[in-house]
Amino acid sequence: MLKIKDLVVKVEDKEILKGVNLEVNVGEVHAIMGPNGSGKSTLANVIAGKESYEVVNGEIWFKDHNILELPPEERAHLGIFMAFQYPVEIPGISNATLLKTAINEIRKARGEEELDAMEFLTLMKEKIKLLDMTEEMLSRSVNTGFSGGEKKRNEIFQMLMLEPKLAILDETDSGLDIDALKIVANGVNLLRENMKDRAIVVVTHYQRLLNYIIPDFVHVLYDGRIVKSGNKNLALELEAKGYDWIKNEINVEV
Amino acid sequence: MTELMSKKYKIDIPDWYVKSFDLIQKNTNGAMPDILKVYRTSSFQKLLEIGFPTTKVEDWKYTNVYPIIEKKYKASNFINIFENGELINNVKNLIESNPVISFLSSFQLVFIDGHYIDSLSSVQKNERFILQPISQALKSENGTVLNHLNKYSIIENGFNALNNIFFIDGFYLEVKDNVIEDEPFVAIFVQSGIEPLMINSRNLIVVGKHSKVKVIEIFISLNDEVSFTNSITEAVLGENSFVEHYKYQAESEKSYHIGKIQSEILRNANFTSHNLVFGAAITRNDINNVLNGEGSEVHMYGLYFTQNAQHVDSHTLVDHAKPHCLSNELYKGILADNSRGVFNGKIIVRKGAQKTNAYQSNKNLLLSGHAKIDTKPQLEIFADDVRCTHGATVGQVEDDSLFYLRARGIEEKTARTLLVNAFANDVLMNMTFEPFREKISEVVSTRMNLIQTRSAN
Ligand SMILES: Nc1ncnc2c1ncn2[C@@H]1O[C@H](COP(=O)(O)OP(=O)(O)OP(=O)(O)O)[C@@H](O)[C@H]1O
Ligand SMILES: [Mg+2]
Repeated sequence: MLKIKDLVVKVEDKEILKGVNLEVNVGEVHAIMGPNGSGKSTLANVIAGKESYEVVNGEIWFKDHNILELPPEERAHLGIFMAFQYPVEIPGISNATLLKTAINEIRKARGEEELDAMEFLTLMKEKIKLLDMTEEMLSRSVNTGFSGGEKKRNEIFQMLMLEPKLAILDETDSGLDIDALKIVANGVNLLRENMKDRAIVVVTHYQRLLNYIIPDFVHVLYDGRIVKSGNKNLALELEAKGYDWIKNEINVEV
Repeated sequence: MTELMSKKYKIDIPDWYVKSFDLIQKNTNGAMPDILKVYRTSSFQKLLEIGFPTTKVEDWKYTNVYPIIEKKYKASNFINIFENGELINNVKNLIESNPVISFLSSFQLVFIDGHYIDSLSSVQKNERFILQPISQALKSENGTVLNHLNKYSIIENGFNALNNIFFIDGFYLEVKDNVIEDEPFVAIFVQSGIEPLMINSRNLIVVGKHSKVKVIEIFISLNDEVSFTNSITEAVLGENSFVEHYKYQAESEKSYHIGKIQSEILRNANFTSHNLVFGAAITRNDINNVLNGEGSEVHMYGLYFTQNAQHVDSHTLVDHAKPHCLSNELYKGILADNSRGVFNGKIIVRKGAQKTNAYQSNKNLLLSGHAKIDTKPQLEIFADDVRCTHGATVGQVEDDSLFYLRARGIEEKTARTLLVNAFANDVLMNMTFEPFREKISEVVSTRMNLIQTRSAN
């Protein structure tokens, strides 16, 4: 479904990703872990299409599309969704307006009919309940004045509304208390109920999220490279031994 | 074009103004009250003396009026609209087909090139309020008109003098005490553009104690041609009254617009002004307010959205003449292409005007690297117990916001329009007359879409 080959990415002349290879197949859940500044968000943003990153080498394929050639909106039309590590506050645009516009543009791009106002409202009310958010959040400006936890929940709410094929969650668990973490994980697992034609990538620092969203594969991104991959036990090992263990392993290999 | 004589602070009055003045002096029929003749003569002396401002005059530093003055117009005093049935019919169609102004209100006066058009208007005269052309009010020897007309606006520049001399007509709104009216009072000023005209309109709003009304002034053009509108509105707000004033200017981008709103706000009264500018090649608005009674308030909201080579200058003034008053101002600008904005917000707090609260904010969004804004607060504070804040920002559409929307599947063009609209709605949301607010919001989106389509080609 997603195939990344030798991806090298620069920001302001600094090389951040130094040759990333990753393959995610339909039905799989992958976790990406790694210390601060190792390039996890850079990778997520480059997949979503952020233009301020300079791709100097490599390819990203989504199904049979070479997506590096596509603007972010067209990637979203194909079904790519990123939950932002730092969701942006947009005063003056309501959550409802954002979602209505987005859903209808996506449907239009896929040659489907637009949702009418009633269908849309019913859908929103149904999904927002799942995240234990009040309906009042729908008419509020996107993320504006939301607490850290509310912003993260709002990202998952949007994800459930848009029903993406590939969901990339960038530290959606950070800053959540244990109850909120469960709610967010439940939201993700709802998507997981139907993994036919779907895959999920979660970026996280913590094993605790992976207790709720159990991954098929775990990767360690370190200094711009995926230096180790394994199954869910790798996350446990990391939690126990810390990143120094990885550092030493790499040094030994070199 | 005329050769202009100019000194450091003064552009001399071109000849054709003098000739036009002689003509109107001769043509004036006996119906004109004597006091107006006095105003006219003294204003003409003043006009000769001060001329029009150069950019050396501080208040006109960023607005060069040469392009306005160098053109020769016909004073619209000398044209006859009433025989032109086709023109009147075209204006009727324009008003009915313009989504912003069709069916705004049943209280509506229409002026074409400054002349009152009875067949398109509905005069109101009852025990609660009077809405009629000021020419009629003057003829009927309504004492209130003469007591208030030209009592608040002083001649600050040649344009103000010009208005005193040449004004043909305008609306007169008199609201008695204790009148609360939801239906807005609307005046529509249409430039025909059939020839280059100088159009002077003069309006007066007198609102009694404890009354609450909305007033909407609309300035539009029938044809995309050159004309020069010069308008003054004076407003007097009695104790505890509340006036919400809207001015929407969407004249031809070939024409020129000079406007002044002068309010006198008495004890506990509230004047709220919405100044919405989309049209004209050069626009200069002066919104002057005197807080002349304790507990009075003025709220000024402005939105200018310019494109091509448009130039919009907004000068606002709040004179805190009494203690315990509040002024609050938010002006926002969206500037595309090579257009240019000027904002100058002057706040005077007089000696003794203690417990004054004055807030001012000007925010601008530049849509092009060639657009420009000059923004300046101007504070003159002579009291010590004063809370005053001011700030100005200039920015662009935020990349992060744009990416967020696009990553959700929203096309770049739609995303930009949404963001610009959100920027504008932050000030438009203060308009309490909702149908009008929604239409203005649509005007913003439509213009933004057009600009993007144009620059994509
Ligand atoms: N826009 C930018 N401008 C300059 N440097 C950047 C930019 N974005 C990322 N970087 C740098 O790239 C490196 C990788 O950042 P990135 O956000 O991808 O890390 P991360 O793995 O997501 O870290 P964290 O766990 O803290 O979220 C960091 O050194 C960061 O400072
Ligand atoms: Mg990150």
